[in-house]
Amino acid sequence: MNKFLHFLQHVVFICLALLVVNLVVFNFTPYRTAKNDSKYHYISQNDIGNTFKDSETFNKMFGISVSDVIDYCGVLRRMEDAKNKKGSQNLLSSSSSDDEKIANVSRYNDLFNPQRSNIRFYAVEKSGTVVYTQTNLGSASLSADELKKKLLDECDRYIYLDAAGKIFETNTLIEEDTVYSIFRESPSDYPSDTVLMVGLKRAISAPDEYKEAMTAFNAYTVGFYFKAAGLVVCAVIYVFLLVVLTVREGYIRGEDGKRLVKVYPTDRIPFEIRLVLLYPLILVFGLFFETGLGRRAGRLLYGLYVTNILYALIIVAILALTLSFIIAFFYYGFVRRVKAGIWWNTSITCFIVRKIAKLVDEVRGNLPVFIRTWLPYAAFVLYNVVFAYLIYNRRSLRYKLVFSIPLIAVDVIVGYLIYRSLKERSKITDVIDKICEGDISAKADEENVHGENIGFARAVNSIGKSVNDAVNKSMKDEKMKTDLITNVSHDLKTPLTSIINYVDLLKKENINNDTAVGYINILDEKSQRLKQLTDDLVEASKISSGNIVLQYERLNVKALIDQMNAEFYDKFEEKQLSVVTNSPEKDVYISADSRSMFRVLENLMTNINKYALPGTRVYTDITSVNKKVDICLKNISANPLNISSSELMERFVRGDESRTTEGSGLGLSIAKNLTEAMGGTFDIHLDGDLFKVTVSFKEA
Amino acid sequence: MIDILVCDDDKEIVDAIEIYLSKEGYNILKAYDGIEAIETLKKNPSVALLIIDIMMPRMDGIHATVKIRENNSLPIIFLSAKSEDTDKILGLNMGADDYITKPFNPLELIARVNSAIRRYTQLGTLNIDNNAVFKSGGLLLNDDTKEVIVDGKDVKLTPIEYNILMLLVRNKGKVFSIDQIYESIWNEEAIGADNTVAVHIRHIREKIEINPKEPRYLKVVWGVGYKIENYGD
Repeated sequence: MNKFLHFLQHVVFICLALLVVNLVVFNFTPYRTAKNDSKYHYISQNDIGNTFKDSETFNKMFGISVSDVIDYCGVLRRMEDAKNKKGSQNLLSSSSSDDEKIANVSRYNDLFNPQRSNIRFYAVEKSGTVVYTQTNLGSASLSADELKKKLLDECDRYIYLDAAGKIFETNTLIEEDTVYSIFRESPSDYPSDTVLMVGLKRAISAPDEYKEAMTAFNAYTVGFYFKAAGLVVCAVIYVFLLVVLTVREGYIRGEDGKRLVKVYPTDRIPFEIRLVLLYPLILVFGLFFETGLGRRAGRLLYGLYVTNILYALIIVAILALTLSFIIAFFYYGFVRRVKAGIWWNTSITCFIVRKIAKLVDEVRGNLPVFIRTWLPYAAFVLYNVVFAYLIYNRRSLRYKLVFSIPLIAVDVIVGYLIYRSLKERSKITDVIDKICEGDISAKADEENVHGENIGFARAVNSIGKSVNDAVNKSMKDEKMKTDLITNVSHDLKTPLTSIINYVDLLKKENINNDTAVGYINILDEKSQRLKQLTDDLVEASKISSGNIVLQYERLNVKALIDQMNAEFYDKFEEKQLSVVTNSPEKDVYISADSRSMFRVLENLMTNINKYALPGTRVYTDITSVNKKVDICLKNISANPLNISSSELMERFVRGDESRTTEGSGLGLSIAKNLTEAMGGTFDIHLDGDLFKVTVSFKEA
Repeated sequence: MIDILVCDDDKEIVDAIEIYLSKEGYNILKAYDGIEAIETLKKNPSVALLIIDIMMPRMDGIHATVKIRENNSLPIIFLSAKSEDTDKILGLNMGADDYITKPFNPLELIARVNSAIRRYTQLGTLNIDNNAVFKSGGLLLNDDTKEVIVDGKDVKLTPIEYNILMLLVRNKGKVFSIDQIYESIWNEEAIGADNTVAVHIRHIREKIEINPKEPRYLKVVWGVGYKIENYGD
């Protein structure tokens, strides 16, 4: 819809331009005179509705033509005179203005050439016995009456003047007095019995200014009110479209049906740049009118209009369309930017204003720093400049040396102070680095530092102390937590000991009640599980709180797996689990804590023993790739694993909650935490019934 | 009848131990704190073994042990809920001979008590002035008779098990890798992953240790190998 409206607006603009050009550019007509080749005058509003030959325009032109003819005839007569006299008189009587006229004769010849002019005239003058006859009607030998008849034959507008008989005839608006005054003012001393007749051809066919003027006149006046009305209508439509489009422009429907502002990439161009783009355009327009190029272009267009109206219209239309596009680009771009609220944000002014605001903020926020750094620096520079000037200005070497001493001394002192300050600061920075790396007991030297660095050193030490305190506190808290769990478990263990022992004793009593024996078995099983749980709980808490001491050794992974397999050999055999070990030819070593490593693998093997499907194979694979050792244990689960691997590693989570097998649910969590405590990675992968654990360490 | 003093602030535990050990033919004396234990020991010098808890009111087991050790060398077994390594090391350094954690397996308790009593009553009388006898603490191998005695009790080992144990006891304290053991016993190069040695060692452990999971003599150094703990001759 908007696109259509835009299109419409362009079309309306073209129409507007065509009408304006028609009504503005063509409302003047050119006319030529012998003195000044071409002039223009506006078509009078009174002429609208008249035909060309009845118009003021025509009458003005015709008046000028009459004046030209009078001039022309005078010049011709004088030239004939001069020819006849052939003597010194000629030189005496000829004035400078006469010479000018004679020089103009070729122009007149051209102007009134019957082939190219629509004006016809003749003049008969009697000067004593000599009769001068001037005409462009073709034959000068005809009598005056014959000439008049011929002229009337060809022309429909004319003036006829018989000075001797005081006869003046015309069917134009030119008045007798006007013609007489031209006669009188003419330097050519017309004889009193001159007969002059000037006419305009019935059909204006020769390509002279009358033809042009008539074309322009018709173009302007014919349908003038219609065109004026069209202009007004177009202007109204244009303004209306402008308003409508201004309201509608930029909005589009988003995917959710909400109204959004569509911004084109070109809209991001700051408006200053747009103005800069616009500037050459304005400049071109200005130059166009300022240098007369515009007039010349107008004349060209006018000429084209007269000769080929279609080309002229096409050119005007193209120019108008271009202008319309430019207007739309700038105006609607601005509208979109205003709507999107980015016209200000994207502007360079905004950018500069923000930068300045930021700078001001920075200076204001760091005013003390600003003063502390720039003032001494300025003083230092000033000092140097002053002394350098003094040294430079002295002629005597002695004075040069005298002034050099304070300059060099101060420069050396300042250099040393800067060096000392930076050296001290770098020491403090080293301490900060140490604290960052975890050496929280690092202390900065507060005694042997100067100036600002004292404050720095104190601040760093105070930060170090806070960090130290915080770490100590959190370690204490963690220790307390572990201690709490340990103590609780001790307190649990004492009654548990009795439970286990008396259950055991109960089992040894000869009880003949099967139900009671069943109950006792349950008690036995559960109390054993409670025992396991308390042990694992303490261990898990110790590992996760980092409360374990690890002694790293170089462990042979193959040997470790062999030892593990030996430990579980019987248990696996009971469940018909066969172990398949794949290991590399050469021994692979890792750096880990021997007992913790055993604990990790024991937990995993216990897990396999508990949950593997009897009669399946268990794979223990050792691989060493890129200095990384993977111990991979795979088994087929007896029950479906409807749980994620990350959940499995959580504390107290077991593969299947419904199973009532022994175990605390801490095994995998302990194995994972222990592995990670030793710098390894622990990963569980479940694929259907395949349960796969990979423990990875860096090769040592 | 051999007298054993059991000291724990939990009466039920003392009673349970009494039941177990009475069945083994021991006479049980009871005490419920450290001071009582010291007094009972003074009154009954015939006591051959003390089983004592650590955490008790009035005087704890550690202090009591230190006191008792001033003038008495009877075997002392700690029976404690404290299961940390540090606790065990502390207890053994304070003069205890063994350390059992609660909750205990009654069979293990009995085995450890028997072993401690045997060491206390018999070991001193054994003839060890023999070049063919190798020992570490209560573990003794006689290479002439191919006998293995643990805490005064005969243990039957297969020839391969005996050879392995002999290798380790001769070099007690030194850790042997699986390959080293294999090469020494079978006199051939160890090739490929084979847990023969590991399985044999486990069997030896099951035979000579009261609790194979916490071996006293034949220790497993996981990922490295095996050794016999050096308790001296």
